[in-house]
Amino acid sequence: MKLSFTKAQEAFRTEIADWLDRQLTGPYSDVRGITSQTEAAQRRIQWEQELGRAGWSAIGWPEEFGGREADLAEQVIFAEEYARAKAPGRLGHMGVELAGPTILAFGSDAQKQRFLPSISRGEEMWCQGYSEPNAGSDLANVNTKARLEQGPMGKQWVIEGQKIWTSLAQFADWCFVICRTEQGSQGRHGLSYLLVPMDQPGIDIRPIRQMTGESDFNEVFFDKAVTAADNIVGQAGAGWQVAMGTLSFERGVSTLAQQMHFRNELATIISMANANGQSSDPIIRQRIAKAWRGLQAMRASALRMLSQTDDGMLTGPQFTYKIFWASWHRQLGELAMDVMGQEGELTGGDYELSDMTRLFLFSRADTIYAGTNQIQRNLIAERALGLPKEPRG
Amino acid sequence: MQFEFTEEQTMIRQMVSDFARDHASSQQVRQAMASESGFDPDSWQVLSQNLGIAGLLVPDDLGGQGLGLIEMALVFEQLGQYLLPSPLLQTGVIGPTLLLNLQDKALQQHWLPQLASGQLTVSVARLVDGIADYVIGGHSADVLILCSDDINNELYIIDTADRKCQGTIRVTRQDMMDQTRAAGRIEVLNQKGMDEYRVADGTSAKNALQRAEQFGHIAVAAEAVGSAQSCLDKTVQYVKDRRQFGRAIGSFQAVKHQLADMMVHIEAARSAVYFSACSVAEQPLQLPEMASLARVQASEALSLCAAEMIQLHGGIGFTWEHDAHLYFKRARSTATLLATNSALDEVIAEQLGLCSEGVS
Ligand SMILES: Cc1cc2nc3c(=O)[nH]c(=O)nc-3n(C[C@H](O)[C@H](O)[C@H](O)COP(=O)(O)OP(=O)(O)OC[C@H]3O[C@@H](n4cnc5c(N)ncnc54)[C@H](O)[C@@H]3O)c2cc1C
Repeated sequence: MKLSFTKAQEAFRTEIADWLDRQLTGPYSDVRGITSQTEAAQRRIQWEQELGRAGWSAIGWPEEFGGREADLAEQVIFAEEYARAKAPGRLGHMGVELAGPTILAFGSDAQKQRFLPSISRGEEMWCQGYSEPNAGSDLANVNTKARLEQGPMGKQWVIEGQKIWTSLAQFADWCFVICRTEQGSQGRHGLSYLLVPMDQPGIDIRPIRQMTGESDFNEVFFDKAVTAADNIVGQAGAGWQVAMGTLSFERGVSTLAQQMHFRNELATIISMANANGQSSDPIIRQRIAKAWRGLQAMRASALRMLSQTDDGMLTGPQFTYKIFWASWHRQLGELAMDVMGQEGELTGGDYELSDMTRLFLFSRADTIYAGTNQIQRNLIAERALGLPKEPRG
Repeated sequence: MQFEFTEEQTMIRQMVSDFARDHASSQQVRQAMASESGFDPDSWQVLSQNLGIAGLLVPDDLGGQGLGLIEMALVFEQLGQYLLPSPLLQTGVIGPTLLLNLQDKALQQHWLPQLASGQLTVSVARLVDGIADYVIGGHSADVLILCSDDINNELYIIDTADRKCQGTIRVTRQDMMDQTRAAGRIEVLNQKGMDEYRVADGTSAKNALQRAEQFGHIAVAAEAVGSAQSCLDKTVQYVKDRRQFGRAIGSFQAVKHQLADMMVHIEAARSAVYFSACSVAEQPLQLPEMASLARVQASEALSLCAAEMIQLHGGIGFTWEHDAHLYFKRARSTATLLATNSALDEVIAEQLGLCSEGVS
């Protein structure tokens, strides 16, 4: 075990820090520090492209697809510097962290050539079409259907149905959609993983306003939406395995960037507490210390998780990481409000939220998306501890 | 940066796990805790001498193995699974760390080889107004290292086999709720008599003691992770076997979720412990907060797991015969050993720069 970095790695750190600094104090100073998912979206797409041009967008990827083949240590360094520079939240993350790795792992060569470079260059944004009104935690219950038909340009999938809670669909060029391609199939069988262009008449996107007042997510209606027959990842009918593969990438290195963002949030809370005197309250001191401990434990867990050799077996921290960070972050939001006092309850005239108030509200979602806390506990109990499975209705 | 164990580390872990399997059954643990010294000299001999664990942190040229806290943490994690009482915390971690930090070659050459070989046991204690209470192994240690609480931070080393010291200090056993950690009271009867035992004072003595205790926190934390894991493993087995309402109680979601939460706490604590053990060598300035991190995280995990172990076992879990109470009591002594959890969190709060006096 070793925590320190080599000289070459430190040089890499300086290189990325310098670059970020130049951009974020220069041409991109307007997007620095943005934490809202939707704010200044068009500028943040330009930022994605700037990252892409400089080769910083998908650094872990193979070079031929626009990456740098960065190893774990370099990815840690990148994540640290990205957060330290207060670079904005990544609008391209669903392409870079989910769609890209899925195509890399399960896609055909032609799909890799077609999709990966445009993701790493920040030219195409992605969204995730999993959840439906009747398929939330029980994802295998999806009911959106697709069938192969002859179209004007050859065979194509024709899609009917509805997705919901689709984050950032309003900015996306593509959506990865799980849908039923075998008529009459049920559960995990008969599903396929399709890549669907968003800009077409068969797709209707309707924003949903969430409790923060903002609309990060949407309903997406598919009414004879189409995509080329080739735009299927994996075999027809075997989409469940691919979909689960995508979910496993949520445990990837992006967690490190997220942690660095958490560290910034905790630092903000500490300076607020020092400024308003809450820092002398013994209970607040203990809670801040506890939050710091959680953050360190998370960091160490992420490093344990990512250093593990990939033999397909999930181990301790891989099972427990999601529920730990989500619950921790929700508590951090509560701590922020307690430190701010009533001032934290103030909003702008258009319900604009301060970063810390948004943290408090938005973190309620952390324990819902990407597997609710209850679903995580089921998973841990059944898959890690070998306890009996929940009965199905 | 790399976060995996070396082959040597994995080997040490396996070796200690084999040892514990042979020497730390529930019956052996209970026999040891009922004894006057509070530990079994035979198994201690195997651990310290045959396996060389007492000298793990002691440099080679002083008769030890010259390894670090990561290896020691792995040892404690294994031992913690079984609750076997042993003098290892004091004799293998706190005592040697203190001596190594004193920078007094003669002292080190005199004492460390004897500690490393397991020939002698040691207990380190802080005196408050001439009394040290609840000192782990204090009643049975061959050597006492005592630190005064006056402004000079005097440090004394007393060989208890030397009858001469009997008029100067008195040592008595204290019976504790956690019987796996036998402890004693040390009283100074004659302050003048202490002078001949003085070996150091001032900030060097103070720093050496602090460092030794911080190493101790990390070892105790590793041990607590092992104990918590045992609580989880034993409880998972039980809920798979025990049936009520025509099904295994482990099929009830309320039970499953409780066990899942236990695992979440354990994994976070394990990560924290490895991380802090690792940081000792590489980021020594952060030792105070890293030691707090490990100890509090692990102590909280063990408290949760031991309490739930009792709950999920029902009536059986409340009996003397079942081991659940041993873990529950161990959790309590872990939460107060060397410092309370809230005092350790306060160390973190200070390191984080939280002003303690009003608006800054
Ligand atoms: C901010 C946000 C962004 C999102 N973005 C996306 C996106 O981009 N793409 C996408 O596809 N989806 C997205 N989602 C959807 C998310 O994945 C689902 O909300 C989630 O899977 C839960 O499904 P549900 O909302 O239908 O709740 P339900 O599944 O109906 O759950 C309701 C409650 O019942 C509990 N519950 C359900 N089943 C069980 C069980 N077996 N045992 C115990 N308790 C159970 C749940 O834990 C929860 O507390 C997003 C959600 C949010 C909040």
